[in-house]
Amino acid sequence: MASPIDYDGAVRGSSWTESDTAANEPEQSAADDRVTQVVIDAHVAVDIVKHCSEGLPEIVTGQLLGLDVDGTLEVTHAFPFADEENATGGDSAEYQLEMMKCLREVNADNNTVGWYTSTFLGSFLHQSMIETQFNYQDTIKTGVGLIFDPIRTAEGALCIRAVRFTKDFMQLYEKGSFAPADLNSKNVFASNIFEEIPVRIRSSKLTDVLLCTLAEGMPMEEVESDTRAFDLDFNPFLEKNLQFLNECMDELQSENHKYAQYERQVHRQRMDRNAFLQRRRAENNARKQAGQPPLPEEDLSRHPLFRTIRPPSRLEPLLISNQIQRYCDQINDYAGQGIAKMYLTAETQTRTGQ
Amino acid sequence: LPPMEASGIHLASQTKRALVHPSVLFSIVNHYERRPLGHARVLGTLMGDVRPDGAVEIQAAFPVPHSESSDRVAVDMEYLRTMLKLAHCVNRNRTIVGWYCTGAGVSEYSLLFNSFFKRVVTDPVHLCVDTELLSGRMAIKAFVGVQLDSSENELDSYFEELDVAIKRETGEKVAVDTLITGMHERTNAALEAGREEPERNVDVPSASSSKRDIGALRSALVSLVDVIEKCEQYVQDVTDGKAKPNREFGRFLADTIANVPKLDITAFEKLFSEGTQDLLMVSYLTSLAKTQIALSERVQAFMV
Repeated sequence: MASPIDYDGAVRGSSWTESDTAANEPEQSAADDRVTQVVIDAHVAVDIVKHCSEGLPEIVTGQLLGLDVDGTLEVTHAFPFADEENATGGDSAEYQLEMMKCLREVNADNNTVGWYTSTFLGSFLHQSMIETQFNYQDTIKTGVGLIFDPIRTAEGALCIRAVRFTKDFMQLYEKGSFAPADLNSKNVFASNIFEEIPVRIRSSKLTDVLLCTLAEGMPMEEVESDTRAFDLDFNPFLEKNLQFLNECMDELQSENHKYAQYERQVHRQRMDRNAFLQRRRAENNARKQAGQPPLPEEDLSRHPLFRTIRPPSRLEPLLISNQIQRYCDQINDYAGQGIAKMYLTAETQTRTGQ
Repeated sequence: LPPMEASGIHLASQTKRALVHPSVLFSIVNHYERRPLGHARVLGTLMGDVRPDGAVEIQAAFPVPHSESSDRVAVDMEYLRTMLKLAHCVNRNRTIVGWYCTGAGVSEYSLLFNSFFKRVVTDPVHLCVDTELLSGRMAIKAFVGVQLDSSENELDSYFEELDVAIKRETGEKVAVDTLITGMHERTNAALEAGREEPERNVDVPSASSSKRDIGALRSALVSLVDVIEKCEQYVQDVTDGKAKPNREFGRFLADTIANVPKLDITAFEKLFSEGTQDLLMVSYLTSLAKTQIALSERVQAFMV
């Protein structure tokens, strides 16, 4: 834990590890995978919020640095990833290495613990994000992804979530096959792809003093007045959400269609196969009765009827279902809040009317 | 790196204000907390933009290693250049605008540090944050070096103080407000429990809990009531003769109050019922969708 005022650089130095060596430690048992909470330093939270809000409407990502202490993941620093087009020569990996080197010189922990990304109204289950999270969780035992939703935050309350894949999902992803049988054997449903970890923000004594200074009386230059929380116009938010939800439903529908087609194919193949075998047997019997030698047993596995049809990957439907659940939750929360606001307005109107 | 040009006119006559983003202050405080053993102060670079009206907007900051002894000071310019290059990769629009230093105010080293930074930007802004709380609070001041006209020597200059204002964009505002509310809650909890030190950690309620949204609504309402009470108090003071009346302000208040919409009862009831019906319907449909998906998953598990 970083002590607030008298910080001793020498003591910290012994606990710095490069992210490579951390992954290669053989002594890390499975118990080290458990992360019970994520504690973010106050300045990191402000930095992440700022970067994501400024990046709108694009999705931005960045790296998290910190330490893992007994199942509590402490995030002590974060830096944004370079935009591909802005990087002046060299790619993003080089940028990362240089950044970590620079941070080490100013006594920041340079142990990678995860990554953060902004999201647009809660939609973050894209292939690229899944892959990134998988890579992080694979190389770093405690890799955590922080999802920040700047749009919902603008409504008034901080919306930061920490997610990790469940172990079952990780194993499935590693194997690369998402056939229905695999999903069942691992008991993976749409609701347990991710596990959400509680997030807390830590502020040291000096940061508290800064907060007091900001709260009390620095001259402020407000960009927008604080009336977003009182907005009674629910339609734009709901419309956008429902639109996303509809698109997801359509995608789910087409995936289900694919699966139904596969089932029909398998069924038809089975019927054809049985018919073929029966015909074979009947012919052989007829030949035996006629005294002719039976037909040679040819290698049936080459026959088109006996080729096994591969079941379609269920990864997409899984992700889509999870995404749908998230949208539904979001809409529900928003609707709940909206109803509360309506009733409040009703109170004021009836009072003034009297 | 070529020094950045200001808009041609001598900056001291134009730059009267420095607008600081809160994240800059947070990172300065964090840098101070992580300073190497034996260092009394820390140094770093300020990044930002110069606005057309001459005010300097300080948007970001990063630390720079430095060393000082009784007779000389050194700033790691190589590190500075590397970091500038990296920062450029992320945000092309930000340029270096100055430097920061912790401490109570301008010190004997400030001129020397200023001369280092003058190599990369003309008229750097010097932000001074009093992390040692010498005045009992964390004073935040900004200065800009003004050359004494009568002398050629770079070091013959004095520091002119600028007005500092905090500029909060929406996202940062919410984050800082959450932290401030959290801090008040923690201190109150500690006082009630009789503890010396409040808890260090603030819970961020999980994104899917309605407590979060309602909490935000509640705090917005509380601040609104606060503002209304202040206005009421002011009006009361003016009518009692205790405060000076301000014609513009009074007219502004009257306009604001007139803006409150007054619908007749039937029109409002219609709006209200339509609104709540929409919300309820949407809520019902989404619950239905969720149940449907959960069911289909279970069925699939049986079928395979």
